[in-house]
Amino acid sequence: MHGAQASAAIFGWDALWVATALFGATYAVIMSEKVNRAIAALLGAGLMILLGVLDQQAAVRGIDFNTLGLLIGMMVIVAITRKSGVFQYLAIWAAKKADARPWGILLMLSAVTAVLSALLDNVTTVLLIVPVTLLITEELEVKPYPYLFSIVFAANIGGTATLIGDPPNIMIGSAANLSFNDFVFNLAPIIPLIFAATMAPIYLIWRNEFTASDAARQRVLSFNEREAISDARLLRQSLAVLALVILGFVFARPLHLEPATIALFGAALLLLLENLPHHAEQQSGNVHGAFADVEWVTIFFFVGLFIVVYGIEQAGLIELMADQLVTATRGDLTLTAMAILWGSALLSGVVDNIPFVATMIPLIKSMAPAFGGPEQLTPLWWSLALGACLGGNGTLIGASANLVVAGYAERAGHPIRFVPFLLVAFPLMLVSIAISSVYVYWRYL
Amino acid sequence: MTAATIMNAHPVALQAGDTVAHAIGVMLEHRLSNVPVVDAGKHFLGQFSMRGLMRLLLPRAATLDEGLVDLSFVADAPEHLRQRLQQIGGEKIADHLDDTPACVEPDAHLTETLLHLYRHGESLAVVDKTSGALAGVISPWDVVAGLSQRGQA
Repeated sequence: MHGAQASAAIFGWDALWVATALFGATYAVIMSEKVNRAIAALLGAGLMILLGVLDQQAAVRGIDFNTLGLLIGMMVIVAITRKSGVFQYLAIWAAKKADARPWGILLMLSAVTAVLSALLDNVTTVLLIVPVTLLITEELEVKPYPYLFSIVFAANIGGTATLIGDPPNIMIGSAANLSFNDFVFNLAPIIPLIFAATMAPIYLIWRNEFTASDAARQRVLSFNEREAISDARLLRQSLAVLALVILGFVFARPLHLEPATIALFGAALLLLLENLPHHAEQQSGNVHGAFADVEWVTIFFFVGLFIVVYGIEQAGLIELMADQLVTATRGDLTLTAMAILWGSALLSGVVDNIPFVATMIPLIKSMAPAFGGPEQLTPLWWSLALGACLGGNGTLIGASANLVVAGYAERAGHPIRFVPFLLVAFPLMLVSIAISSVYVYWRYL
Repeated sequence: MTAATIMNAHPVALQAGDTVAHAIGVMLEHRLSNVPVVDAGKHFLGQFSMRGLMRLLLPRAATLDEGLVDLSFVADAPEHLRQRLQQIGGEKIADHLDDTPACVEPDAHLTETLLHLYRHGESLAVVDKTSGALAGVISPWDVVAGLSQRGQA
């Protein structure tokens, strides 16, 4: 059903206008942050149905269950895995590998964060790494700011590399039928260069801060990372299941499996392995705990957004916007790709990149006829992924991981302020987008 | 029976300008886990507690919301902790007191007082809501002693 068919909402109002008004109001409320984003999205979705833009069956069709299943599955796997202590182990191991030298620690913790972010979601990664980072910087008697700053960047850069690294990639992969391998082959190659191009200025900016006394370094070196492993059996099970899930993603296409199936099956398998030795009551507590760790606010936010965006798609707004964009770029693929890359990056710094990507996905899909078919859209998908994920580094509110790190910093008595962060982060983000532009142009255009 | 009838009306109290070292001395001498802090006019300002002191000694990363839940990998360093204790000993307790502790009003019923004691596990300040003055302190010992005397009577 497209715009022309969805011409009337209740009272004979024009569905396009109703949907556009609801879409604008929903996004305005989300951006104002006066109301929880899940509430805003669900209200917007409910109104799309109540005002007749969509019926319930159409609304359910708009929900991308592949994205939701993948997110939930990975959240459950991480919730169980984290109990083993493996992430603290990795952070301490990294600090000791750097001989507890401040710059080495910053580099190693950032590298660990980037790798973990590629395999887990960014928020989870920083939730696991930041407390250990704060402990290490406290023991080293150094300011935590440069370390936290680098972790923010590393999380967003690392998350760009894979299908499962950042929610925008999950949405793009699901909507454009791009596999885990597609992301690895197309986005991961540029990530090390962006990481290096980010770390070098960080060193230059804070190089005078990277000193610590021998006594302080000895305290960090005396950490016993093996003691951080609280459950060796759970660690083995978790790593085995995580490896199976990654393998599943790699071979998803020949196996004709969707990522959500793989992630949810992996979650169920890990729940089984964790709970087999326990009696029913303990199993119930463990399963309840694992499910409670799922970020339901994010999940319901997605549900609402998918419906709101499906509403404007069905009402014909997306098609109109796509036509406008193609006209503005004169149907030039290079210009369109660059507009999407830079536009996504700049907008992701100020608005939540999830609703932005949710809107851009159908918009890009609608451009297929103008560019000669869906297969010609590949550069646009990679431009959107790079722009939306890396753009989150531009401001303190650009990505959820940034806000989580800022929250920790505040509670630890080392607040990260918006403007000082912006002054360093925004130029660094522009550098990463400039590198991405050259990459996209060189490789696809 | 109300909080006022069984509270200790002459509790040990600290002044906001007292040092942490002085507070530790008072708490050790009287074997108290928490002490009310008042200003010159006996207005209740908050509580200084052993739990708060433990928080000062521990790394911040472990006492934050969603912080580290396990420090077994950190080597034992009593000398480092001793230095830390000395370092904070000279600081004012005003900088480290809990200024929103649980407290009860003098006319609070015994059951309500018991519930607060059960939930917080420490002595409660009894504070007059209107004047903000510290009326006394009530501990689980006071409640049990009060109930026992009633039973005997």
